[in-house]
Amino acid sequence: MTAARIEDLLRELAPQALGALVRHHGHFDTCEDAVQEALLAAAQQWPVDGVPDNPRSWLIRVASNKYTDQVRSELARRRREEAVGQEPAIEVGGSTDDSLVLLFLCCHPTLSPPSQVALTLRAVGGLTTDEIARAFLVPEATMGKRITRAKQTVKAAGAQFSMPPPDQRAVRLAAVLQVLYLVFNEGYTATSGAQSIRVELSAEAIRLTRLLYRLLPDDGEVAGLLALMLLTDARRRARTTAAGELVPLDEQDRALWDQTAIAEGTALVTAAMSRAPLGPYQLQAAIAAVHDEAARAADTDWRQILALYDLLLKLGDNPMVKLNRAVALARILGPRAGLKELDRLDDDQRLKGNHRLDTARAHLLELAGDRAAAVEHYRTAARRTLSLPERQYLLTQANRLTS
Amino acid sequence: MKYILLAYTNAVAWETGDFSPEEFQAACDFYEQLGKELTESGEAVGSEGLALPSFTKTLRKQGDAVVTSDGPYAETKEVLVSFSIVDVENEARALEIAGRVVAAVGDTVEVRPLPDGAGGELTTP
Repeated sequence: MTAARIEDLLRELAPQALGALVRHHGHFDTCEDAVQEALLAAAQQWPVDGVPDNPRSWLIRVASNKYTDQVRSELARRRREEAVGQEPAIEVGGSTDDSLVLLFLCCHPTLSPPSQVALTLRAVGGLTTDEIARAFLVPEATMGKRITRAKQTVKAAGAQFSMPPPDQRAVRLAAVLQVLYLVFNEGYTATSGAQSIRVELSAEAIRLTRLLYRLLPDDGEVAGLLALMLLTDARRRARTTAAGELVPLDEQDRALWDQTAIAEGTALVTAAMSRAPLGPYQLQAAIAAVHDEAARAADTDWRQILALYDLLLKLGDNPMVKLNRAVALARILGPRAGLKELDRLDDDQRLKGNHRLDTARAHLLELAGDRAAAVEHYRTAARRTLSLPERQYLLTQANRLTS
Repeated sequence: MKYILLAYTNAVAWETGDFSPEEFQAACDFYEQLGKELTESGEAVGSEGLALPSFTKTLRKQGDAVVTSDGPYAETKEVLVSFSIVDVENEARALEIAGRVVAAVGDTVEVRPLPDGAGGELTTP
């Protein structure tokens, strides 16, 4: 087995081993450390000695020994020489349902989103602290502390290794989906710097969301999120030039889109919408699917996109959705109609100083033939964005119109 | 989101060492404590104190040539004394940390976001 295959296998087994250990011993934080050590041992030994016949029980056994060692040394430190290790053997059979419990635990409401992300990637994703640190461009020590602290917080909150009670299930699942989407975007929007490392975050987010989908196949929003990721990630190769410049959807080379991912994502969201209650991830996935199924930008079914934005607005008042809806409307009724809708967003405090409003207005003004005003809004948007590639793109648009 | 905290201090007071040993020790203690806290919270990315402004070399373009001169960019009373980079949940948290530096040491602190090279999805109309 190649090192890469072994790595995949270890990541798949990591949450199962951790789940088995926590079920047996309790103490999520100590068990998590033990599993990380066992994963490191496997990553070193398996490529040399070969993969054991039952890799899962190997991992659980080694992790359990590490756990016992840790507890022993802890006890020794406290000068309490009580015997451990006389406990009954761990149930190796276990189910992947443990992964779901782990996901809920890692996305515990007492943790901040960055901590939820870090803990999820390590405990459920099986990534090392160093890998997570490099992906988020912070020192390993910083990420290590963040993870340690997150584990302490979860422990202090008295969180149990069990499914959240039914009345909290929906809220807690929403937090899990939010974390997975954060991880995905962190990888997807990377255009420079440590790009290749960050791109792996998208793959990791898709892998974990697939796992979640296997565990909760009937939840429409889980399916919706997986579909949204696949339908978005399908455009990755067309999204930037070799030099890292952003390419807008309309100008992307659609031959570069990943048709397998598009087919899978479209099937997922179509099935989900036909049986589950509608939710924001499903609707966003459906919008992505409409874009993805157009062979040319001109073939885009904007009426369907507009209808989907209307449905999204029914689920909640969101200024970004209104902004996108205005853009879709402009494609049907013309740029002036879209600009009128954008004017209604001027007083929305949530969009104050947001470059996306300026960007949308600049595009529509350009389509309406008002070049001078378009240039002005492109420049304002460029000033307001915190993203360097976006800034570059917006300044290029302004220069194109002035030359 | 990462932010850089740029602390500025009075150039003359710094060069002439115009502060008491107690003040100096208090500032050191404060920074040590703050550093510890931010490391513990997993928010510290990096932090450095700078050498005295008189060690500065400034490079600038004159015509087609690059000219090096001694000293900071301009004749200013306030000079950069240290910087730290933190990775925090939001701007409010970065401002809170900077505020503690201002309150404890008296320096002026600039807080600026660090763009990370990521770009959103561009959907043009």
